[in-house]
Amino acid sequence: MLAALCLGAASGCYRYAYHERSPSGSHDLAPIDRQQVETHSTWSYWWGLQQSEWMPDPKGCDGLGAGRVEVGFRWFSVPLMLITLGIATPSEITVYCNVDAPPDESARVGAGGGS
Amino acid sequence: MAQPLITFEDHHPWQNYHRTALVGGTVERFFTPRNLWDNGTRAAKGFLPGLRGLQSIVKQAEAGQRRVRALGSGWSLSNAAFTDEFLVNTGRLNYWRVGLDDDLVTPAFAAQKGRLVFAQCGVQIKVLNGHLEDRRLSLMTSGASNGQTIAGALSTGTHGAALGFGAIQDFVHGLHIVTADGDHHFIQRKSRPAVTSKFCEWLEGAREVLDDDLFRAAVVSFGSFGLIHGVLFEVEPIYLLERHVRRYDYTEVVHAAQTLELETLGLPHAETPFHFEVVLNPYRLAPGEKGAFVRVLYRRPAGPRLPPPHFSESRLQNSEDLVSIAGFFADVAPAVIPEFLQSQLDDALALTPPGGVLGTHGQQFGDSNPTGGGASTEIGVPLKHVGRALQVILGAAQQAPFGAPVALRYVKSSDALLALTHFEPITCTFEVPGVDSTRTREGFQRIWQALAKSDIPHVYHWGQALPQNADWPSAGFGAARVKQWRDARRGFLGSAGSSMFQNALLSRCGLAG
Repeated sequence: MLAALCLGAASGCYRYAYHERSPSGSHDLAPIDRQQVETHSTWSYWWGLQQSEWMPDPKGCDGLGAGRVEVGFRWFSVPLMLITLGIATPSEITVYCNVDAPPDESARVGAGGGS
Repeated sequence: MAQPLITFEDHHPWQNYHRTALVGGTVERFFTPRNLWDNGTRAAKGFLPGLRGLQSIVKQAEAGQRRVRALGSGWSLSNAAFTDEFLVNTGRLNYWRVGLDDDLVTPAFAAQKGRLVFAQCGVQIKVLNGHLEDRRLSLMTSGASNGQTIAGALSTGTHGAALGFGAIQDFVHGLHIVTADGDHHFIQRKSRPAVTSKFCEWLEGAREVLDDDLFRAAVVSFGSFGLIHGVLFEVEPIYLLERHVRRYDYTEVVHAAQTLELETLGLPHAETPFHFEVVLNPYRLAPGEKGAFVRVLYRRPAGPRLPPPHFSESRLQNSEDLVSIAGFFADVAPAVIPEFLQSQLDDALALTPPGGVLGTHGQQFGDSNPTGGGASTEIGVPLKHVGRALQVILGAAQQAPFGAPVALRYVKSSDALLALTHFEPITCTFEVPGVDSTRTREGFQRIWQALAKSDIPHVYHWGQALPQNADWPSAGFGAARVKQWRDARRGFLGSAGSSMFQNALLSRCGLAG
């Protein structure tokens, strides 16, 4: 029983990731800010018939959007799914902000220029 | 009047990018300044809210008598950047521009004005690589990957294996730094200034400092000279690199590794390479075991069409738990280490086709993933001492195997006072990157102790695991050089500033005060 609980809780480590590519140069994986991330809990109900939809704040990543998104179980996802017979399943979304900014190419950099 | 947008979190648990044990901890206050005002608007000068944010954070630290340090991408495997008081995430400070107007550059740099770049501290190397490539420009060198920020990479002396050039700090011409009271300064060499005082006016009235000694001290100073807001550096017209990876027996490469006489390797070209690197499996050194890998890159002109990028495919990524588990098994079953290491090296250093692989700088030194539990130490040694250092390091590794190869890279010397690559004319760096485990940490200790007992001149990479004592900086850089660095720091920051930008690593290495 204890082993089953531990294994069930360990399934909370399951994660899936989407990582944007940079539009420039060699299209490396988008640069992201790994130090300051946003996490949100979401829920699926009734064996998938209904799910919560999370939409980021458009200003949340300083206007540059998400660079990487991870979706994973919580440590209590599988135990709760078992207890509720699949009626409620929580998961967690982690958003890493994109920090890919092209260089400023406004015309004038010189003294007095406000570029 | 709008204030700079700064978010913060108290009692923030901070870990480095590679989630190395013994690096990081709980931070009293973790700040993230942005290039936005608190009403959500931007400034005409894109960097201004970020600059004001750094100034505000320094003033808050001063008022609260707290130490404050800035972080780049957190790639360091040491606590070089870390303080548990006020820590600043510079990741959102990503303003940069390429090219300066005539009146901003000195006559000596007029020809390069289109290749001078000013980048805020948080701009990542991969951002520079990508957008510079689109403008047919390129960095002169970088580390082996691309996720570090420009300020973080230069502050720890990040390097590749650029035999004829040097490390990242060697293409930098100026530093814009915020210090006590929120004062800000632009430091460049007096002997070779790149920009005029009008550039300092553009930087919102930064105090211009022309001082060679101060520049050489501050350019590799791991965050201890204040909060670096921006970096002025030079890039060059785009070039290509032709990469070859070959596998040898240890006995076949040891002469070249000690002397840089490469003829015996039978490399594809006789010319001096742009990049030369030897990677050894310390437990596969016997004839026939093919435990030595040579990676060499030659510089080539770029035609009108650049090579198409090679996209990494979707793949399974190891979690930090898997790496920790691997570390655990390495601790309890060391017999598996030599073969495990060889398979890892075969995978990481895949042999190239006979004609090599052509790519831009950004393509050759591209993406990598966090190791999720990696540790590494790196030692800089003068070229003429490589043979003896190799014996000491391999001997220490063989005493009790741990899961790390030994990578030798060769870099032209840097005049930055505390640069890993300061040994003239060429510094050989020995990097020992592995799985973070008890066995690996013990292995590092053995290497450090063996080197300390030897008379081999050596220093350590500030961004990797290193001995926490004041003996090695004094011995490796020389007491006079260390004093010069400390004097420059104290003269620049004053007593209060010296204390505010100090951290534990600085104190333990005898560099505080």
